[in-house]
Amino acid sequence: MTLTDTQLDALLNQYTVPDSKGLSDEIFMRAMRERAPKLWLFFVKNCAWLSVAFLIGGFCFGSYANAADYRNAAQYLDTLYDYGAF
Amino acid sequence: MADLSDAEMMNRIQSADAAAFRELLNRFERKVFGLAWRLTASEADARDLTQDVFLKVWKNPAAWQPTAKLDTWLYRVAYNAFIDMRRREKPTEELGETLESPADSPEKAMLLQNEADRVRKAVDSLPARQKEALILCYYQDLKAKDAAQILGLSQGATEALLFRARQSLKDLLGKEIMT
Repeated sequence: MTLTDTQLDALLNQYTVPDSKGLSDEIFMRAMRERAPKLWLFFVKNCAWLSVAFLIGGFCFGSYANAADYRNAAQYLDTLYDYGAF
Repeated sequence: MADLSDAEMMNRIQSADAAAFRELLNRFERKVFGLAWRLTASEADARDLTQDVFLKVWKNPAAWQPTAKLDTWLYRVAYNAFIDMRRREKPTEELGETLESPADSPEKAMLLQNEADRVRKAVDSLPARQKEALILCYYQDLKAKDAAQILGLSQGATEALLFRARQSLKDLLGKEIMT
């Protein structure tokens, strides 16, 4: 027996698709993750700038510390002078 | 966001608008998953394929030309991904997942399940091109002209494939009813 068009259409309608079970959310989360800049990539890209910033920062801090040392030493010598050491 | 046209939505996706991408998923995820599921006959492969399609769109939305219908273009991306997958992998194993059954009683559910299984097997037994033409035209509601573009065939050839697919299914499923 050959089916009619209507019978075939009715049968074909039985072939339904299952629920995709949160696939939409899964895809969305993955897309957002792929767009977010990766931390390691940020460091690699900015490594040179970070190194320069670190050196400048170190230099400034070192200069400040040295200046403070000199000030302390000068104060110490003043004190010794006041006490008649020289 | 729901009232945006496809072109406006894709423009927004080009500027990495997450809400527009969510809207794209709302509109087309189910359709692309349906196509992928019927083509691959495997839920896991269909999920992977659907993910691939939408991530490709997210990464390169400019690939879509507004002259093409968005759903037809998405189906073409999905179909090409399916062809790549088929080239890479061996034929997938038999479908193990249960089909959705809208029946309200266990007996009716069993009957519909058997019916759906029979139809699925009959569709799967068709030659690849006939099956693809049937899925695109019948289940994805595409016109023969659009399906032909996706399959890389002429409209006439696609209509012939569709006709032969329907004839084969009528015979196959009719025989099973007789037995």
